[in-house]
Amino acid sequence: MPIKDPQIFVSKKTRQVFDEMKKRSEFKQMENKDLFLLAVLFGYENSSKRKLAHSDKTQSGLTRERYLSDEDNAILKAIAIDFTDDLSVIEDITKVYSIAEEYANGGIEYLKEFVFSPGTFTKKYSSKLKNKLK
Amino acid sequence: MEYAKIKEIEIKNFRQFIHEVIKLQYSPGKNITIITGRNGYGKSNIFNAITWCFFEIEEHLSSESEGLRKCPNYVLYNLTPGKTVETEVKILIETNEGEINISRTMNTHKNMDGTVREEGPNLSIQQRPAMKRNWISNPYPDTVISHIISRDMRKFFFIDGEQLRQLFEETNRKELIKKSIFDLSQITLLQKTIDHLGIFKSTLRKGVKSPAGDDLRLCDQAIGDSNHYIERKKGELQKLYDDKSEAQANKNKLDVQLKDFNVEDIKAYAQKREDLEENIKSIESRISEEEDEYLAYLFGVDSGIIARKAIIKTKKILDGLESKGELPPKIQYVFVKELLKNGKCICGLDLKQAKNIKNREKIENLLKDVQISQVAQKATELKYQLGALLKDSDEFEEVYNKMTSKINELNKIYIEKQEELKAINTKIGNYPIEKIKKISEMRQQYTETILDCRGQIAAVNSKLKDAESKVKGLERQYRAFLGKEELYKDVLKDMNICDKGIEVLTGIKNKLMVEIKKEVEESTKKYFSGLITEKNFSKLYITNDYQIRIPVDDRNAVENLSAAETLCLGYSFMSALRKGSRFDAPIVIDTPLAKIDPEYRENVVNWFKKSLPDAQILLLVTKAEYTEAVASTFKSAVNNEYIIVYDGNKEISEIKNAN
Repeated sequence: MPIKDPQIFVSKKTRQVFDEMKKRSEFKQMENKDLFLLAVLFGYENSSKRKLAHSDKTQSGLTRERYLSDEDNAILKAIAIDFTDDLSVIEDITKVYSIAEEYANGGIEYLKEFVFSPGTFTKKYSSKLKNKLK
Repeated sequence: MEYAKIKEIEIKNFRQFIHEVIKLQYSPGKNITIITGRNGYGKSNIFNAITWCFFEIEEHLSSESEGLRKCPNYVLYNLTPGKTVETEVKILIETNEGEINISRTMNTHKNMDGTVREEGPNLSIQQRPAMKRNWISNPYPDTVISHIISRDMRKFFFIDGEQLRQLFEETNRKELIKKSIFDLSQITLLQKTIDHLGIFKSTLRKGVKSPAGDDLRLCDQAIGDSNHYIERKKGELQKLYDDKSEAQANKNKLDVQLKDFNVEDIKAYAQKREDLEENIKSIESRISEEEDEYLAYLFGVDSGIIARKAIIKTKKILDGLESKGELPPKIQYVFVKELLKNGKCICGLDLKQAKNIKNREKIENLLKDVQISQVAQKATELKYQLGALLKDSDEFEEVYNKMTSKINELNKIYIEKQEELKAINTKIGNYPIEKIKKISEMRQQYTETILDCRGQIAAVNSKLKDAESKVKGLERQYRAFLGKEELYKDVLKDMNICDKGIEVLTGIKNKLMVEIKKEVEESTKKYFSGLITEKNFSKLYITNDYQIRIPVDDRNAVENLSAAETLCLGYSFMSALRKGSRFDAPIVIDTPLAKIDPEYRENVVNWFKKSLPDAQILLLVTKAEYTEAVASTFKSAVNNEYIIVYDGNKEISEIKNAN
């Protein structure tokens, strides 16, 4: 039986970074799942993937599947397929999330460094995306 | 006496002078003596020495000198206890009737305990008639002085530049002009006769004894009461006029200040600033909205860009499967699913409406027809979503440029507006806004006072008119009662003679004053127009109630004269009175040019030379006033030139010949 509305977990440190980020005007309106996706993207970009501690998984999750949009899930699935080279991974959403959690855990340091480095986030991020497409 | 010229001024132990003699030579056209001295060196005390000698008044006593003894401290300090020192100012005057030596002295005695006692002053006059050798003492020194310069007229001959200007400010002007014209008309005797006739009439009335309750007595009492009421009301009226005049003068002063501040400009700037601040606020809010929208866009497109590699890889796998037929054709499945999701059929039918439930079911059955495995279904959906994400990221450059250029454009406008605001704030910041506000409030208060006074004046005037008319009626009644009594027929006759006398003399007095006023008006206009050449003041006239008016665009330009122009008006009036008096007395002016702007000084100097070529003029000037240009303009008319040298250790000044 597939798990209904599975949870997404992050490390304690990731939560702390998210809390710090939410104090900034750019992230004030952002939901947990948006911040999670951002961390996943930074982890994926830097090929930084780190398993969560067992204790991180026993706490309550950061968000749940129901809060993620179809687009959010599509990205996470694509990342999972890219990592496993297996299309069938999309049938196991828990695994998809587990891979995403590890990328988020690995990406959080990069994200933190990026967000809290000098300059406005919007300018830095648009420049980063622009460079990515070059 | 036709003229009086000062030949010599001798000052002994007066203020900072120990013993100085100033000789003044005079010839027509070379009639000016200049004494130059820095502030504090004793210029004003030379002026004070002259006015003290003539009138026992020190017209220009500085606050530092007030309360100090006339004898210099240096002299007092070195004075042996028990000894006395004499202060004396002696002025030798040459007139057409001979020479006059005016001497005012006072003694300062140092007691044995070091305390100081002053005695005096004493005035003495020695005269040597023309062609005579001997000096004769005159027992009526004040009378002699009043023949040279009357005490009342002294302010127009011994002039302190700043005081003359103040004297000519609105508050004092009317009374000053009236009094000056009265003095000049030399009608004091006439006025005294009119007053005497009035007193005699009262005495006659008092001599009428009638029993209590008698009509005559009652009428007399009513007249007395009414006259008493009229006097009281006249007092009230005068006070109201004074209050109104003072408020008007203060209001005018504030108007001049406000004019200098250019209040209209400030108002325009303040309005512009308000509009700009509103505009900036709106731009800020638009920038914020645009930035929020842009940030939301970035968070929507970022995954398609950062995870592009994963997306392309996954899509490739899915495309492979599709081409092998392992995935259903995307159009068939996705299209039908999209129709249901959007709730609208291709024909435009609303599939959400209850009445169209059957149509919806029909389309759902179509979906069943393309049933596929769960993996294939998810994969198909995924392929579709990833395709959309890739498409969004492909458009990034275009959307980015569009959105950022909009934000940049707004930021540019924002910066421009901020610069504009900064410039306006600087402009407004240069104005003392709080001061202007305070002045405006004060101005409003004065305006209210003026309006209030006007209302009260009208009411009091009306009451006065009624009372005067009542007195006239009562007076007629009184005279009628008096005429009936045989005993008082002579009294009535005398009273009628008094009335006639008062009427005739008042008529003469008024006629004389009108004539003198006209003469002074003409001369003042001529002199003032000569002094202020760049403005048209040729319409100057003196009203029947002794106000100077210069009508310019329905306003009285006198009310808005600058300090320098007010001083020039003072000089003009002074010269007009001097001309009207037909008496050639010396003129002494302390700091004559201090209030005049440097560019106009030469004009004023030329005016002095041209307008008063026959007057003996002594000018006490500062170095700042007596510039090279001024000195050069004066040169041809200057007969004597002195300079004051000050010894700071002894606090003593000496007057040296500058040549």
